[in-house]
Amino acid sequence: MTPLTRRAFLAGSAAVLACPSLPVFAAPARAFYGARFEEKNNFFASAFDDNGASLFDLPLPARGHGITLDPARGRVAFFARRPGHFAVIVDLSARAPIATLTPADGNFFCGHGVFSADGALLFTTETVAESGDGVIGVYEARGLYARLGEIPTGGMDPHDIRLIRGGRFLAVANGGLLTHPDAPGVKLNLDSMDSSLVFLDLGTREPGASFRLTPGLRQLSLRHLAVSGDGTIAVVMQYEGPRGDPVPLVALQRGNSPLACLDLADADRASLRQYCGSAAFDSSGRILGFTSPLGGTALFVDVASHRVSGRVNAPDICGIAADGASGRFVVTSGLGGAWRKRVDSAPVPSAGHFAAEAHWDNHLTA
Amino acid sequence: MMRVLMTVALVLSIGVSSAWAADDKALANLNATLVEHDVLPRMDRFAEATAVLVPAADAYCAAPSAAGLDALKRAYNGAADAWQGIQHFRFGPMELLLRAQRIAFWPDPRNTIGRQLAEVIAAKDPTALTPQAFAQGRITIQGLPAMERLLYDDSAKLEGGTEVAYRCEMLRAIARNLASIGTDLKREWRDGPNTYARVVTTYGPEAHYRTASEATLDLFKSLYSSVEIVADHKLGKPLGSSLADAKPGLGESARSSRSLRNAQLDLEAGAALYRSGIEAYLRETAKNPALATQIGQAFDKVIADAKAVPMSLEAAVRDPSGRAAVEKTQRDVAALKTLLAQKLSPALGIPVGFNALDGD
Repeated sequence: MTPLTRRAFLAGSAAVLACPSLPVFAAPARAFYGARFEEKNNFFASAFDDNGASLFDLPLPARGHGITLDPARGRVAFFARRPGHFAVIVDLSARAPIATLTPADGNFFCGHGVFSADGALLFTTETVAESGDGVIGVYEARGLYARLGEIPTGGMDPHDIRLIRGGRFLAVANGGLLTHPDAPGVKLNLDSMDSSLVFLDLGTREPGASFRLTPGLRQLSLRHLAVSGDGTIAVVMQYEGPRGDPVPLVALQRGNSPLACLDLADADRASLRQYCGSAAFDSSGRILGFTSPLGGTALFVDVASHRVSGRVNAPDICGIAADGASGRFVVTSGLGGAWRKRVDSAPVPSAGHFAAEAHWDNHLTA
Repeated sequence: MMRVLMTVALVLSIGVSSAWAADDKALANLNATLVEHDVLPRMDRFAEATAVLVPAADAYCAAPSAAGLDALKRAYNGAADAWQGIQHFRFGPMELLLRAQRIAFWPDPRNTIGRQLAEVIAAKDPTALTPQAFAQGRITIQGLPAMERLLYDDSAKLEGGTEVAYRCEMLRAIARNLASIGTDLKREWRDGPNTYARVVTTYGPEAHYRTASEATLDLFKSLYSSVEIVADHKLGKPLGSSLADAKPGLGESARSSRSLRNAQLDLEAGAALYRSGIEAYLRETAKNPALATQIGQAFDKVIADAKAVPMSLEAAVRDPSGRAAVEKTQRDVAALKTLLAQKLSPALGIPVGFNALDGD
């Protein structure tokens, strides 16, 4: 297939917008995107506005996980939970799905992806089922989302993925856990885990720098990422070892420096129950928020001082996204609910039925 | 609308702190009861059943005979039964030193056990079988599935050929290793001033569990996993999506024809944990006798379902009538799983969400 040119894509999207049969919605001031689930195994790709009202709520074939936004081109991609076999692209003006991707035969999606800076490509984290090797799937993202190829991640279990350095590199968290579609959710290599944060150069498609924790922390899985405006990368982790081990669960990475683990007071660290589910920086990049559904805890930390400046306690809290002004976030729970949180004040339940009642899956994106 | 907001706010402000604390004494009693009447006796049984492996393996290897092999297989089945009785208790001492994976590395979709067993046997390195080296070596070949392969898959190679001696030494190494893990689990749960039985029943800001409800959550997750593992893995994987897609090779213990028995024992262990204190708590403390009865009946139903499967699991998934019986069992077990997550956990005051239950 010949990749569509940018001009052809623009002409095509103009035609879609002009087509009178498709509804066209004005973009809301702010939108939050997440996957949700209902009893009886119904799954949705959903979005709500500032007031918690539904913007769209589209059925998914199975449970969703990560979300990535392409604001310039009005698209958002929802990825299946690993081992996943679909990703759905939703057009934000039509509030309707425009494409569904599937992984290459023998691969499964790991739950996250990201668009290239120019919107021409979509990158997905994938595992080659038989070998367990991690790869980044590369999809053409202007036309039919054809698979163009893959880039090895140099590790197993690639999970979250972000664009960094002006879109010239990908940052990928290799979770290091060996899993297999015949045994979903079962970790097969707890004795030989090797988790890493790697940078992939999109110019050369070669691995760049890679970062690991010290060997004593081998059973920490680096899984989810947040990137601030100044390029600081936050890595939140889950620990596969005993609950009593005093391991760090959050690390920061800047420039070419090694991972620097966040110092948390014992009680705060313990409240995370060895597991962080999601993370986000606020719009200023000074506050990092991260969640633990196991601990029913969200903590908000001043990145410069490592001081905990706020927290939310709610069972199964996991989704977290920045909410406009500095120091503001939105968090969601799998047991139902969404809250607006200003770091220095109490969380406020979402005013809208939709966001307040839905059972939200792991991630939220704004 | 207002009511919804109020509910959410309640969960947040009151639900998390004072309402939970009020129940903590009742939950502390529940935890103590479950540990004393279910967890500890089962750890004892696993220690006893694995201890029996050692003399059985020693006797067989000293003078191999058909009778000795049968005796060793009986000991293996006794240990496997006892393991199914504790495989859902994955917290505390079981989390240490990768014990669960070392006792029973499963599932094994890549046949890692077969590959690594063959490598070790080919190398015939005697130093790899000393207790310390063996316990710190490859986790896949340290436990029950490796023993099962040696006893059932390749038993001819225990009778003749160049590998006899080394295979027998491996059997003895696995037996000693399992017995040693069994002893350690029992000791860490029971003996000394810092036993896990005490850890699970001691709460406070500096304690391992800040509140009783946190320990109840671990026990609830054990109950849940005894059911989930049967629905999703032990039956779900061999069933596949259709008769044509059946995968009998994914049964847990096909070689010793005990995959179905394992699933039954898991459900019985779940039912026993439920009946050793949770049922009474629902009935008397949570004042929810209807739910107590409903869950008890659901356990009875799935155990009866599993017993009604007329042949081995591996045969049943490929046989139209056997398959229908396995599918019925799996449906009912899946319904029980949903009932536990959606009704039991809130009734215990420990709402468990899907994000917390199956992390990613």
